[in-house]
Amino acid sequence: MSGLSKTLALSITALVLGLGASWAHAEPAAQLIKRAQADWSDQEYETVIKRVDAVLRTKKLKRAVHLEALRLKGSAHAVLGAFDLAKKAFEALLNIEPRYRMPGDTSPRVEKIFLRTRSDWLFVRETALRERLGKALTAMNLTVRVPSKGRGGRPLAIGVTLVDPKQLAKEVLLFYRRRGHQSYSRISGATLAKQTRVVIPAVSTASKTPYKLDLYVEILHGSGIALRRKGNEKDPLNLMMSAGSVPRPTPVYKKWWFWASAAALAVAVPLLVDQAIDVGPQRVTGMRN
Amino acid sequence: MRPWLYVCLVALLVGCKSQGSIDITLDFPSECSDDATHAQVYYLHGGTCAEAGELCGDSLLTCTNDNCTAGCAGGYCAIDDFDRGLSNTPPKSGSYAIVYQLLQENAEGLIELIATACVDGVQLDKDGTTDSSFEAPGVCCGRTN
Repeated sequence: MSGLSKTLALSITALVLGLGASWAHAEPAAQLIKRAQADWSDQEYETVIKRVDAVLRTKKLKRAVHLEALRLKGSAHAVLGAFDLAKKAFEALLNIEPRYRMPGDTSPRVEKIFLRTRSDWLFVRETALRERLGKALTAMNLTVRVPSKGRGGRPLAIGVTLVDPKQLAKEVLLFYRRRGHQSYSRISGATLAKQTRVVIPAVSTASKTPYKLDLYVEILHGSGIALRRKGNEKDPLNLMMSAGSVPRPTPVYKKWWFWASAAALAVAVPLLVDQAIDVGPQRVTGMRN
Repeated sequence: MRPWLYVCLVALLVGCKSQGSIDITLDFPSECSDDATHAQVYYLHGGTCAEAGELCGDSLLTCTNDNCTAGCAGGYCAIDDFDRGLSNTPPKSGSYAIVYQLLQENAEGLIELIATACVDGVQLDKDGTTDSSFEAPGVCCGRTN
């Protein structure tokens, strides 16, 4: 075999082997994530890391898959005690989604590391953004009006007034939770007028017993970083909520206008019918004087 | 009972359309009128008093066509009923000539025409809700006895 033929044969062999190796890794990312989640349930944390690393090597990833891979990777490192690696994975996750929240069933150990990472990450990003925006951000002013008390089962309006001459704000976020609950729910306002009202829906305020409602408001920059906030996760604003359920809609027959309309119809219809029917010629009465 | 039902009933009582009336007062000379024992009335649709002919003629006016309606159920009314008012509603709207006759029943039981009166241009409406009144003089007819 000539040198040229040898080279060609080796190249083809290498290509075939290479393709074989690629096919071995050609399992779809979403499927790999499912396997990694199963491994997580089986407490096979090192396998979880291997699988999500394979996912993360994929060039084009769906956002949700990407986030889940980083969450699993950070969580697995956290469980294994590799805090720096966990932090690194969580930071990568936050770079994609600054508002990311861990799922509700996250273990306290992982949650703690994630929250610490996020706190540090936010501090760095917010500081950098603050320095970059400078006076424009100084001119921004946020006022939040929280009622002194609220009624359970009724919508609760929180007044938000924002002075934003440079129009830096992109979104207003209201976070709220019943005191004692671990996670906050959030309501987003995509457009932010100078004065706006963010309303917590009635179904979210309903309760059989009085409770304290914690809340805080964040004004977000286009990058997803908070520009201003009133209250925060650890030190929220709060108000007392009375017990109450969402009122059932009043049946139509209990509405005043229903009976008013019925009465009007009851009067009008006979009158209209009466007016429409001729009474016939007059009665003629002749009488001797 | 619900309040709105009261409102409805009151509105019905107050607001309903009612039939109008035409009152005709007839002035007969007392010299003949006082002897009357019966009365009769004829409604002549589209007619006039002139077309009714000689009202004190020898023969009593009788309805011979569809445009004539006799009161008193085709017979005679007692004079007391006439004094209380003879009321009828002619069958259709339009202009009427109305002829009233006073009659006397003599000892032989014969009916004699003793006075008559005619009112021209009594307008009855299809939806007759309006009121009006007429006055007409009567005339004594020649007595045979």
